Amino acid sequence: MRPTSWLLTAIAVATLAAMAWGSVERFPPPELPADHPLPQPTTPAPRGGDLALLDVAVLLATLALASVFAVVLRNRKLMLATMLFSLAYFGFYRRGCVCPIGAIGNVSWALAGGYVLPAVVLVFFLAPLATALITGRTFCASVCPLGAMQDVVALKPVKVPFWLEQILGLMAYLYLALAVLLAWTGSGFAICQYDPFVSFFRLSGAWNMLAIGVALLAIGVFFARPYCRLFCPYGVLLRLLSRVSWKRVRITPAECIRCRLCEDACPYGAIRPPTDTRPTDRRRGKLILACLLALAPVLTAAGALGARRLSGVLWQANPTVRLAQRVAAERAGEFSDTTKASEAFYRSSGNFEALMAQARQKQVDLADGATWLGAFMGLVIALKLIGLHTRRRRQDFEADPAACLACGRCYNYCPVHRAHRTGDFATLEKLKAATSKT
Amino acid sequence: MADEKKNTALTRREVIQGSLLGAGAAALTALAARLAVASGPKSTVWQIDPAKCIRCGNCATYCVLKPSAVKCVHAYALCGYCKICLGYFEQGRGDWSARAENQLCPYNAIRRLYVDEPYYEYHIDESLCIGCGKCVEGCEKSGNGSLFLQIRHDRCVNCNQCAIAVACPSGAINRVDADKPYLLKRKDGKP
Amino acid sequence: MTIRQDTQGFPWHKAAFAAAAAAGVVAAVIAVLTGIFYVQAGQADPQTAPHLAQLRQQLSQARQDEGLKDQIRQEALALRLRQAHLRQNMLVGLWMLLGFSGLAVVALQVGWTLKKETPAPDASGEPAVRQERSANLARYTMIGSAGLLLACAVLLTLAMPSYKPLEMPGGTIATSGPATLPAEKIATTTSTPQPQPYPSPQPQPALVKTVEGVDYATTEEMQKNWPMFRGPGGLAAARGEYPITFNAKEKQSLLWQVAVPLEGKSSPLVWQGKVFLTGASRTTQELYCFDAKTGKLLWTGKQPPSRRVPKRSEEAAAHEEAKLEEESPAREEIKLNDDTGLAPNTPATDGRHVFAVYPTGDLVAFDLDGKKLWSKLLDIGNNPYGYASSLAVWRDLVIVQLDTDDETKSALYGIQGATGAQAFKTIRPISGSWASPIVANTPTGPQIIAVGDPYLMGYRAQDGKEMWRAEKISNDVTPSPAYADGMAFACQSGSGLLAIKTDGKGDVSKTHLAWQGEENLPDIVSPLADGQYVYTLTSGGTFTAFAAKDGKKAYEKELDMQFNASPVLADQRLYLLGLNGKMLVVASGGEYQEVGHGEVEGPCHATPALAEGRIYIRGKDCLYCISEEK
Repeated sequence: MRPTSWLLTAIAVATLAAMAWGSVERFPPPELPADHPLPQPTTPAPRGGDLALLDVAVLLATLALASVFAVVLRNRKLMLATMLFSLAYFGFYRRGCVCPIGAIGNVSWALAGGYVLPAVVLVFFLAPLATALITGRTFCASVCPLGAMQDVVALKPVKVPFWLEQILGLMAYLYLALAVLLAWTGSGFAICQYDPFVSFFRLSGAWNMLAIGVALLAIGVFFARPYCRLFCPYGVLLRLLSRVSWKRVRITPAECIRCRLCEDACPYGAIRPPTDTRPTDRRRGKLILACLLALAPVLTAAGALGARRLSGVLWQANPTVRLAQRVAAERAGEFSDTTKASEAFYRSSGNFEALMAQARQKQVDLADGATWLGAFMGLVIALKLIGLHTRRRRQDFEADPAACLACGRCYNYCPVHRAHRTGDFATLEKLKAATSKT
Repeated sequence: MADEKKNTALTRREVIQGSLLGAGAAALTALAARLAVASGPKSTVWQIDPAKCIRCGNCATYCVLKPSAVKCVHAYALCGYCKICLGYFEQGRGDWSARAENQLCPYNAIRRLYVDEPYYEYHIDESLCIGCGKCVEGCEKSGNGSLFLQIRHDRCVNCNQCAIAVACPSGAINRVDADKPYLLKRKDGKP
Repeated sequence: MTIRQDTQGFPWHKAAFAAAAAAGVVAAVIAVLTGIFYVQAGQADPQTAPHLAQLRQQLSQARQDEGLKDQIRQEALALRLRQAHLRQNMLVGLWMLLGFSGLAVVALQVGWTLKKETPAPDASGEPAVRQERSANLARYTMIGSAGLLLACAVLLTLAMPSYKPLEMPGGTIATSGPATLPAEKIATTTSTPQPQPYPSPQPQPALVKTVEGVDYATTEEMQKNWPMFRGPGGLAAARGEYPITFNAKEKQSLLWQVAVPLEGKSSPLVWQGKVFLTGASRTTQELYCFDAKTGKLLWTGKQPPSRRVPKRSEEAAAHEEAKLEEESPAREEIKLNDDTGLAPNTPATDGRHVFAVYPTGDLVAFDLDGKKLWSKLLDIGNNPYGYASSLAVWRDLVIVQLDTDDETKSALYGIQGATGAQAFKTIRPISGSWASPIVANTPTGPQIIAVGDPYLMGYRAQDGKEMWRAEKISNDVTPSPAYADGMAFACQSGSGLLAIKTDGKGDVSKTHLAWQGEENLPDIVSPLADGQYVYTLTSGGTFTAFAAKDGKKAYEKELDMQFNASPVLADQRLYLLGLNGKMLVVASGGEYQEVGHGEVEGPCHATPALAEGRIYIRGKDCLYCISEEK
């Protein structure tokens, strides 16, 4: 009979209308009694904008103070105090975030167009770099909380052979390049994920990172500041800028009397001896230099190609690619069950072709990025080789501008410094006489 | 003579050094300018989009803080105030008394207040809630969906790489502006 | 820190070391304790504690045990308090650990400084020479290591499996040799390509959607059985000869009659000696398998409803509520009309598995012996009368027509029968329909033809790509399409009876419309096409035949019965099953000619199934098998 179908249509229309007009809940909310107001969900605000400005102010202040203490006042005790304050503030109070090292990831992602970089993060990234240009790596010694953690346990630093440190130091360049690549392609913030000391600041964290942190601190008792010297990606940038800084830590405030008392003073092995002796064979040296210069483009190209070939490993680091691979495998019948991620994809009625296209694009991006990474590493190795070959004429015992962390431990080893400090120049004259005879 | 040579050598080095310093400063300024274009005054924080959340339970386990910074939040305006709340009670018991064996929340974080027959008000005790999402799932499937998970910013440390965001299978956790840090469910359907 | 010689007098450095040792020991003890607290707190978690879980399990068996309930309450409370307490202790422990470790470190530093001797220059040679030697060594080692790394990289590339770039639908981009990456960049833009909800019907390279090694029934086998709603392909045509007179009450030509445990309006399926039927209640959804010769119930496949079905009436509420709480878990509620019933969707089989779907969105797959293989929950969205479309099959794919009231969500799915993995999903711009798809072997290839408001559409069966669409429907449509001889037919009581040629591409509303009839349009019963004529049957009993070529009405007959079941063609005869259980057998052709009639106890909502010489009719709470064999 016709009326049934009309009734059905009427019901359908009514239901559709009700659904269109307002949200029809399954259980309509009641009219509460007049004396019982409807509660609202609370919205505790995040740490406010003013406090973020405070962080920036504290950062700039500590950087300025550290630089003054290191270069102008030459006072290790004050630097130690600043370091401990930074550990307490940036480390335990702010729990390690925001830090300039992790900011590398944010900056890379912002440059790739992934997001808008908050101004606070920008300042945290740039301020220590600017300071490095002015007074060297004073950030490292006195402001960085990760460095401070390692510094307090540096009890019996052992001298490590120069060549070993050079080679191991390459890891920092690789870490920087990888971190930038991963952040650029939106695959993740590797520096933050693998920060070994942040779990101490937060008093909780992943077991593996906690273990690595403890291990690094244990190593740090004997090999001072292992993360800083071997892994820190921000350190790479600081080294570069600090080489050309305007002012830097000088062991002696006036002249170097070559007493050699500071030789082994640096726990980080950053002191270089004077080299004003003539080189023995200039021709051979020039030949080697020419070879190294010719080798540079070869190494760069080899690095680029090699990294591109191996870039498949990086694809697993990207969550979009992983999801696309999983969904494609499930569709092809390789798996009979689903992961939470693929389940979520199906439930959200994800467009498979769009996902594949996105994943494909990420793969291409990672492959291109890996090429740049390889070229960068090849170039770094080539430049290091050239750098190791060329000799800088040094008159005094100097702190290597790149490796010196501006901690000021060497000051008290220098008799010239102590003479200036105490005003006792007589002892100094005696020492000068003694050393000039040998 | 030697002195002059020494002087000129030093001056040459100083010139090189000075120009490199200038180059470094210029490069840094250029980077700063480029980044300033890509930057903004607003800070960002992490937040869960309730529309995308599939209540998988990762929020409780993956957050770097223990207990997690994710808590269940109640949009009272959407709640049906049901006596038999299926986000509060576990199904299949047949017994609707508010005792431990009937409750869905393993941590007793939901408090039930009598308002007027047959309406009850349900409150989440955030000090007990761990963000496991069981009550959210129950409410979403069988109720009005007035319970949902949110990252609470009085607890969240705002890690650069949110561990839960990495582990979220539906990509429901994203950065939002710090001055609008919550994505609350509202009665008019707008976030 | 100033440098001091070994002082005479009190050995402060020793004191410092002692303090450091003491602090270190305390720190170590605290570390161990904190570790213990951590482990214990993990064990005391009420969510995972095994004893509590066991108690809860016991309670679900013995629901009234008050003692057990008491135990659970106490244990849960105890665990919660203990965990909170342990967590608190752990926090205190961590802070103390930090404090004492810090203390130990500071003491060590102080002691070390106090102990430090005056430094003397290293006597092992001129520092400059040492430095130069070291630099040379560094150079050689670096070149060596770089070379080694390169060699390793080359070896790895040769030894490792090549990382394949993801295959896009449409085949991989050509790579050359063992290279692991595409030779050139893809031409897509760097931004995410927009997912296209209405794909342009361009011919795409052929895609093999079936999994290698999976077998499925051949077309021959399909034709011999009744594998889905309205038979093979949904074309409502059966092979073989069937009885034309029968009477169930008088046991004339009745082979068997069995009670169907749960209600439903779905049609039976027949596959090689087995008859499948679905039924459901608010608490369970079932698929029955009967033996075709004897009617014995061989197995019942069950699927608990994943979504809640709304209450029917107040009287039934209390009883059903109790049953519901006992047996089924909580779920979201679906919208379902009383008329639609709880099991309106006819299941389907591909000859190797049986698939059943229910208005709750549960799609379940069993093998022919009753073993459940997989289940999926479909996102049925909003469907005012309830989701009632039946399944279709093509080869090893289950075709699901999921139309909701949201155009951007309605879709045609192809799901692999063996695994439940989605083979394709094509979004349809349809805002609601209650028809089922049919699969037809057209001259241009196998097509899935589906109708909804406002389109009749044809898709390629292999990958669900839309081939053509005709915008001719203007309202809710329930009758499913029909097909014969390269023409698809669809009707809707407000829009007309359409005949669309199936070899078009894109929008064929104007170009491929053969004809459009306006008379006697059914609202529920699906039309039937036998190549010569198209037959429509309204629910009020008006039976009309139109010429398939031009739509000219051949005849029209008032049958004075109500109909919900769709007509079936077998042996050049049309079987029309009325709502009251009476069946009319009419000869196909241009003139009305009644050749037989049968009767079972109605009401009969479901279309009958005809296979292997037997007619299966779903009547009032039972299934009849009409056959001339004894």
